[in-house]
Amino acid sequence: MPVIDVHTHMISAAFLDRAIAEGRPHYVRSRTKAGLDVITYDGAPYMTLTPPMFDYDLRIRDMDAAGVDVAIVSVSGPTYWGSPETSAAAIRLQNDDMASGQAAHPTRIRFLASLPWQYPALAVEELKRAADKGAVGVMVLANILGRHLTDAELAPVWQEVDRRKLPVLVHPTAPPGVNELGFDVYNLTASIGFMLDTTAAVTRMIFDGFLDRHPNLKIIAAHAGATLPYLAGRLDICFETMPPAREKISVRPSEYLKRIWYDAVTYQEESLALCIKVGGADKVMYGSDYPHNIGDMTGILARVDALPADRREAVRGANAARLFAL
Amino acid sequence: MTTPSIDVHTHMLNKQWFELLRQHGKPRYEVKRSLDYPAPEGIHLDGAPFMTPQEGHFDYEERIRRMDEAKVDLAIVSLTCPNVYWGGEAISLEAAKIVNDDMARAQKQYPDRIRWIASLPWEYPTAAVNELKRSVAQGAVGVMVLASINGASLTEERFAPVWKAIDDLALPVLVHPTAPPGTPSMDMRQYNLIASIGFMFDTSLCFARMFFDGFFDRYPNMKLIASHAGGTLPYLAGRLEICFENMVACRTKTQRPPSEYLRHIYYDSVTFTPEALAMAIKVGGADHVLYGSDYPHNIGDMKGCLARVDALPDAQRKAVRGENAKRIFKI
Repeated sequence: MPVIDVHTHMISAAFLDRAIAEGRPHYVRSRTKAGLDVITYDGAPYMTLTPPMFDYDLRIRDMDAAGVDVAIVSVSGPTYWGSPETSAAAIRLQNDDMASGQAAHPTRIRFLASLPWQYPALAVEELKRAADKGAVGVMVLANILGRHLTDAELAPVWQEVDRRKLPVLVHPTAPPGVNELGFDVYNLTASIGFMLDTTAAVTRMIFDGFLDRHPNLKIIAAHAGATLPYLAGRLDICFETMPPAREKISVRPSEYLKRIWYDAVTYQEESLALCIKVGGADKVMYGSDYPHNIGDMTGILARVDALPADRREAVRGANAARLFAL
Repeated sequence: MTTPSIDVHTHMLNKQWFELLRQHGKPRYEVKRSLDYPAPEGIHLDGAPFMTPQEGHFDYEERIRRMDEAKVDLAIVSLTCPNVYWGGEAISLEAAKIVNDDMARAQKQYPDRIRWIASLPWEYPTAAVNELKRSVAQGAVGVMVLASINGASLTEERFAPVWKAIDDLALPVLVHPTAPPGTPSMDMRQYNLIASIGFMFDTSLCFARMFFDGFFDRYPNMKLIASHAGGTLPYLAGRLEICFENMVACRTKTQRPPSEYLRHIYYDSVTFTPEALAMAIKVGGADHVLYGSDYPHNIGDMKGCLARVDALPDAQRKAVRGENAKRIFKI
């Protein structure tokens, strides 16, 4: 079974330049004392830029070395900033760049559309355009400038995504409250903050009834569901014993955790196994987080390959081939 | 003979404490009618449901009956959030004294069934250290601290005198969550998200910061218990490790990887699936996980949590049921 990487990143230099120019004061790009090219969000380190993020040929070489056949690339960097016009224009550049990557490497690259979610009407337009150019799914960050993914204003975008049957990678960014959380030290945004962002977004989708309103929506919870598989039992007991957790849903949260998908971006075999246990072997897909500094095509693939035979094939690529209709 | 079961995460409140909170908790904490039936009133934080006292929180006789039913031999009781971190120095200290005195009384009344851990006015280190000494003289076997203190990290310099005093007395500390900093920005008012996920991140962030900050290098003998089976730490162990390996910022204050600290700290067993409990044991070690129930909170479950512990393999079961608690609390 070919290996399909559903969580792997590229960013266009032109898009990034505009993001940095217009993303102030939140986003700032600078060089650290250690010589790293980093972006900070509200003063807290947010992402470290690495050369393969910009270079498809280099990526293909690294994929060859790791034994990864297809990469479904997406943008993890600063996406929501600027005026309606500048934001939409920059995101067009970004999606066009990925479409070119796909055209240049048709057997190796697919891409997820980035959208200006903060401007829902423009997001719907860009979704149509990106899908026409070959996007096989959509990327959304787990909060849109502090706004919840369940907010009513975003419903038109979700409806269009739903209508087109496109899977959505829910990927973290810095959670709201970075300053209060004291994430400016030890890269706590990366180790803990991102996990909080995804966990909060998907948990809210569950308790809010969002997944009932969009029963066919294919949500992928990044980083092996962040922490959701570990908290599944807690979500259930909250549902059972706290009326506010039952306001909008009538089945246990763990049932919803079987309706969503997961990538395999976790760094220990026990977490991968727990994710499969909670989500189901048909719901977990290989992902690497390459070329982030903690991305690891080889290590994560080795963990997937160590799974029992039937699960291995599903997680390596069969689930992704089915979900993305590749 | 079965190893006696010792519950290290179980709560008691006190009516006087509750009335003091009602009077002095504002503006952040407000006592008002709660959706959390059947309790008539709940503590709200910034308007969001936060902690709902149950009748069992105030009634030691009822507690002992429920412990008998669930076959829990000993309870090491503690206050819960928002603890005594409100109202200014005099009120914070008064609240701590009320609760600590009440728990000391209960221990005298039920010497075979009750032990307790002290709450302290951490924001006022001198008062906290004095109250710590007074509590220990009254029989406290450990200390409770919330994972963040009105938004402040436990690694902040101003708390160092309290940590030093605890370290000198070699007392275990239950690190218990409250609403994490950033709760208003994250908007966790709906669906009791503070309870389901907010608390888990408060604990996780607190410990991740301690690891990277080198806290345990400064206090190598400190025994800290991470509530709720470590919040989310066991699931994120590999991620913390790769962050340490690949990010310079994670190595500025310590040379030791998070996996060593994860093996250094302790965990309670307040988690609700056997898989999560197994993972906490795998990451922390069977000698570092302690039975806990979160009784009598609405999600607390003496029987269920004990049944999951009793389903563990033999050697692990004994350790988690009570032997580990006996050792670290010197009971």
